[in-house]
Amino acid sequence: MTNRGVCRNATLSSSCSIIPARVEEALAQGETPHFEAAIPTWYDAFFSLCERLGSWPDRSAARSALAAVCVAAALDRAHHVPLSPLPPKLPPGGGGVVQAAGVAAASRGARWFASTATTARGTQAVRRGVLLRSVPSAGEEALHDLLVHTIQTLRQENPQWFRRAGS
Amino acid sequence: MVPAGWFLMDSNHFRLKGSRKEYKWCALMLWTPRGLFPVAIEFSPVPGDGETTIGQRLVARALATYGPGFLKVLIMDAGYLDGPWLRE
Repeated sequence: MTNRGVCRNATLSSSCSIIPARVEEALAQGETPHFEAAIPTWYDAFFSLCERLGSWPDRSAARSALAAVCVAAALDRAHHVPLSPLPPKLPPGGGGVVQAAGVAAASRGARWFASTATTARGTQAVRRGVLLRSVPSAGEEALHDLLVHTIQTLRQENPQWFRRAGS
Repeated sequence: MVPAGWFLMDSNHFRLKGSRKEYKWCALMLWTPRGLFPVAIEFSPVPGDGETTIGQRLVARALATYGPGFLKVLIMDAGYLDGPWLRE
């Protein structure tokens, strides 16, 4: 899909509601669809992790999933956009891991994470509070591992972003 | 021209809902045409280490992980400035 329908400041969930209408409009005007590989984002990393892990409530894996949420939270703060790393509908298999992450977090004191994350009914403020409450328990090393994996992927797929212009 | 090898370092404070305890995140981020991607992040309590200390840790971590020359251009505010460190 082209980037035409993507708003830079939109969250994932809002983009999902914006993009189809833009695409339909472009198709109606006779534009030819152009598909390109998506650049991995933290949302992709998080939900890919959820999909890969399925519903296996592995505690160590849950820590990584939780770390990804924290990255998303930090990224949203960095971009000054509303925090919404969890779309209304989780991908197949994702709920279990998010719930497992919540259980892991709950054992460390973040008690509302599971119910809020899996139902996604909380307000933005509640979600922000829940996610940031989970930050101290996420584990620095799990977070670092996730960052390294994602940056290495970015580096392989987009080497031009890491080169000095003209070199 | 799209910047390549450009990084940005910044931090912000946050407080948990219903709590007076304050934390800070500091992030070293890669500047790309698709937005900023975090390369290294550190969460820390407030009061705690200052930006100069945390910033140096993040840069050291990035260089240790990705090698010398990874950071071509680093944009940061005056809170991270430390003369001797910049000359290293």
